[in-house]
Amino acid sequence: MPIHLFQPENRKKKYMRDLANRALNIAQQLGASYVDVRVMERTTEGIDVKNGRVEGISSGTSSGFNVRVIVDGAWGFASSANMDDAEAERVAKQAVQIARASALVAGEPVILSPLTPQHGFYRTPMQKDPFSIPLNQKVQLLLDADAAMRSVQGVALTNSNMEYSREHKLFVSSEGSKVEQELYDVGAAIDASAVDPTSSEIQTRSYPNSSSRQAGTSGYEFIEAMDLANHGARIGEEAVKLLAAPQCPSGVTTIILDGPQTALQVHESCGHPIELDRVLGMEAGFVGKSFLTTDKLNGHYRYGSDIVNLTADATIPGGLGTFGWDDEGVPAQRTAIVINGIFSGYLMSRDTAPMIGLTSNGCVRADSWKRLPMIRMTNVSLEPGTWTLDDLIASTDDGIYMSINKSWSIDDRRLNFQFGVELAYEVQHGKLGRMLKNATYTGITPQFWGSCDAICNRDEWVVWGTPNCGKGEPIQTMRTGHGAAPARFRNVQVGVGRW
Amino acid sequence: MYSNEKSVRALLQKVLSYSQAEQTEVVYLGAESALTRFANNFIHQNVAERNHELRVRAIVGKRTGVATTNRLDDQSLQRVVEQALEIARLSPENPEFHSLPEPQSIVPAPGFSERTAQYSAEARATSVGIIVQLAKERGLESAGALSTETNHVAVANSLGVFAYEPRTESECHAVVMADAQGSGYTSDLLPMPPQLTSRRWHAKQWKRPSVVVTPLISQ
Repeated sequence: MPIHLFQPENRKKKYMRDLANRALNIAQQLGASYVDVRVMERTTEGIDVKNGRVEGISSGTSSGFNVRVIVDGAWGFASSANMDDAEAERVAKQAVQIARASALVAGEPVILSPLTPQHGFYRTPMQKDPFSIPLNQKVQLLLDADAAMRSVQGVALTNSNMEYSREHKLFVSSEGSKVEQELYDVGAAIDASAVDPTSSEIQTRSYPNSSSRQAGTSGYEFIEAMDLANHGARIGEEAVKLLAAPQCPSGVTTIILDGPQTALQVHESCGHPIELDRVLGMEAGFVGKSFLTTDKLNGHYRYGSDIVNLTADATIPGGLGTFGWDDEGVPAQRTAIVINGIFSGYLMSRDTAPMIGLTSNGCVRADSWKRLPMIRMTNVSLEPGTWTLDDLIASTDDGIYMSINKSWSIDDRRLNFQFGVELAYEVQHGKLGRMLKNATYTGITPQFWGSCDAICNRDEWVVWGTPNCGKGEPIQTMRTGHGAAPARFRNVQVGVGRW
Repeated sequence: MYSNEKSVRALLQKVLSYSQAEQTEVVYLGAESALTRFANNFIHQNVAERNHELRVRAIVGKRTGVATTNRLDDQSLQRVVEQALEIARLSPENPEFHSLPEPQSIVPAPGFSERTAQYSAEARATSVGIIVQLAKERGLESAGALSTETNHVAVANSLGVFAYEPRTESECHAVVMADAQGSGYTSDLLPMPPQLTSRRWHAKQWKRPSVVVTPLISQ
């Protein structure tokens, strides 16, 4: 009998448990030394408004389960959208068969770091369930923001969007773990573009962030707090002014990155190179390796200046990378990655941590029931410093303030990067001056972070959400968080592009 | 998973019968895929998935609503049709919309290989094993992936359109590394010829690393 996941909660939960236990038992009977099963349902709704018109309203639900096994020291994984007893048996058998095939080209036998069996339930804390808000109310919020942007003369294109999801998942393992989670994530953003009719140059400004939207694990109140409509005119005006702004000059100077750009810098040059599977070469066939080789975890490798402290923390309230347990059943936790500039830790899984003599720190996540869980960022953050933004700017004699990411490029070991931002201002004698356009900067990761000499305090610290981090084959899109405040970097090459 | 034209047609007709919209379109996407991934000269990830998705587009005047689900029980099918209709009723008009398409003749585009559809986990591992063995023999490090996929795609609408197409695809890519002395890359869309399992095929596919790349940064 197929499972109707829209049935009353108790029957749904029983069906999920029964399915998971059936698959788990069959896999064990077939010889698996380790088994875990995830049963999931994810519902997502989204609204897009473009140029004054509702472009689309979408609603989708996807549910299924997967079985992950170790047989003969090798991994096997299989998943299916069909959730009935016969399919549970088929998928369990398939996972075991795949593991046996993996063992034909085996490396060292898989060893898992220890884990005490986990039990419990976690639900995203929130005030307003986004699915309970009337659709026309959500549409109107975006239309109001759109109207505010289009009220500015010269604005040619406008986008407003929101997306929210609910994910219900059950995890069981042959070690006795059984955890259930109900996770919500929400996000929204607006952007306005101005077009020069003569040159066809386009300049865009986004709020609160680019990269599709700012997002977090929260309720609808997260979107309401963005106050999108009251920022629409401002970003429209900035987009128009950018067309006439001078080009960012080239040279070596001091830069101040705003919170969103600092967060993106952390994601690309910190978050990815600390993924231990990447470090160990497991992503070499797709996205590359890492310069943070295991010999650098020696207590001496200088990643950044003394004031640079980085953490991976899946417990931060509202962070997009926040949960109760990762997808191996390891409890959410906080790990020091860089302490006073010294490299101190990786993002790890139960099978990679033992390779360097450590225990998993709960960084394994899959983007859906379909896909294999793998090491992903949780909330990888630059810890706040001591400066106010006003004081930081006032103490900068000559430099450039850069705001919100426009482009990114980084090598396959995460060393050499180049980023572009939407908007920049000269800083002269402690004051913001001319607006600049097409600002870019480049650097080498440890040298760049070694030049960090000021970080704003917790008043300026926000957990920024990256809802579209890609990794893995088949590709997965993960939601990651990054706490960041504006920060200053010295002796940085800027203005490396050509227009 | 619905994996033949007769069963898919019956499914889509059922969904259309549930709809109260003025016009309705249903798209079925069924997929069965597998991927064997290797790095450091061994298989470290090996996966298979089976999924299907139904997309319903409901038309009310010039208003459109779309909803998707991968639940194919009757209750879920009725629900997704209702959702699409609800969204359509709440959506603003699109003045550029005229109608869903009417039936036209469709030219088949054959793209299904039974051999690819049946390519087993053992066969994928054997093929990967040849790449790995060749790399090992040369003191090199290999990484990459070999994948196969079978798709069943169909569309039907309330104006009489029905189209169905099964298709398969496969792909293999590999990076072979020699530390600071260079690397080589190859990829191929495979028709899964018998010679895929031959060492000769693999030897043709990638060249011995020959370019010395001076590191830009001393580490």
